[in-house]
Amino acid sequence: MQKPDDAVLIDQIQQGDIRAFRKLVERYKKRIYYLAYDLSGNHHDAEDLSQEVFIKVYQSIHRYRPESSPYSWLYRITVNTFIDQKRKKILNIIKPLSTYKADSIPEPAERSAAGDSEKKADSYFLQSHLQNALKKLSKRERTVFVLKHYHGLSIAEIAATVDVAEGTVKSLLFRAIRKMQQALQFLRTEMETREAI
Amino acid sequence: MKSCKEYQNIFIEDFYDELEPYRRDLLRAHLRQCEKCSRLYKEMLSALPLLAKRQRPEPGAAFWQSYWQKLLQRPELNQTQKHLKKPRLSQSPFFRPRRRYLSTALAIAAFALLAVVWFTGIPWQKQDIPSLINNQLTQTISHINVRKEAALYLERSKLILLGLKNIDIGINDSPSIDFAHQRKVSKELATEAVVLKQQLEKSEQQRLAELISELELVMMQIANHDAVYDDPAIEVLKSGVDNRALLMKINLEEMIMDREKQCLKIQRKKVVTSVSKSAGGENETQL
Repeated sequence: MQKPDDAVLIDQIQQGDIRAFRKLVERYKKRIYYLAYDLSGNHHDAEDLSQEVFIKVYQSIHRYRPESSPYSWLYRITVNTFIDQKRKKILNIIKPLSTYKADSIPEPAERSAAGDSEKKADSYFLQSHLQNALKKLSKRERTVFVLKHYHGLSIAEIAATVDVAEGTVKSLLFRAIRKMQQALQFLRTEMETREAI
Repeated sequence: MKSCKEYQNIFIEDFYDELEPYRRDLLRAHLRQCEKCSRLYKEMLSALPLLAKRQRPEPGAAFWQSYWQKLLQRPELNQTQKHLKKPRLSQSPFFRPRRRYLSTALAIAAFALLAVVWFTGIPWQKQDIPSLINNQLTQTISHINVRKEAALYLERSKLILLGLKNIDIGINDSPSIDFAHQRKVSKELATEAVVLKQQLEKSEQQRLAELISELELVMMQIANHDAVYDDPAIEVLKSGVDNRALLMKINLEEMIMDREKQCLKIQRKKVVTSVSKSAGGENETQL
């Protein structure tokens, strides 16, 4: 996963080169933002979390050990920041507004077209239920599930990222999938009924 | 023989193809025998394709393009930059010996400068007093200008916040009135805040910069607001303003600014008299 010049880049950042830091941000911003989105569940928190991650990277760049890839190091920082994060007052104020139309808040692709056709409305319905089911998981369960299911990390990699035993990862994943399956049971039944009709 | 719980523990590895063939065969054999485990396995496995259907909204090209700029604006990063660069220089093995030479050179230069001042004497010092005053004045003027801009910003923000606070949803019976004007002004204020904050941080007026930052957030919320008077979001906005005691903070800041204005007037008088006195003294010696 490590690109050939990642080590060079990190070395340059350690020398205080802000341009190298910019390159690192440009390289990893999407992956970190999407992980942050999967963990936090909304755009504002994801943006805030991902930026906080990059600030922490810059602050602790001297502590980086080349044994681990920058990618997994960034993942570890993201997860730790998410788990440690005490909800800020700012986010409590912003969050309800995110449901209103705004230029700065991206809308899900399906939502903008919702109502155009029944299929698109169904898709929006499905997406919101999936998102809600994900939110019902505990922070640890959600972290492990997201890393496995949406970021394709192996159980061993997740254990190293979250800093727990592999057995703990497995039981957290088990609980997460079970909860998600129970939360979405009605949806699956409904979809099966529709298909039968 | 393993228990059902032990088999259930390896479901996950099997779902994600991380189970060795030998253990997988054992699991299959158990599932054929145990109806309870078999049902649980099927239920969980059937949920996975549904979970894979989840999509993330794409934030758009504009978001990615402005990502770095937004990151740069974070105060934590600026603090880290200042903090990071200094120790790195001293830690560098190439820098350490040079620094010793540099300090010696600086000491020699300072000594030479003192010697020049000593030998050339008072006239040189006399010429320097007005330039020192000038430098101080330029700094003070730029400081005052930033504060003037901040004062104007606070005044405009206060009007918007007062307008927001005075909306009574229960009494207002014209739901068609919208926030068009407030939104427009708030948008302007949110944009102006970015530059103003930088100026304030440059002139080390951290408290005021923080207040502008808080106001920027509220202004952005108002600018992005797209609802009418009966909207519950107005209540959220109002409580946000109350919780942060923004109006009180603005009032306090305005009081401080007024006091500063008075002090500045007195200082200005003192500077003018001291300059005129020194100019008068020079004329007397020339005569």
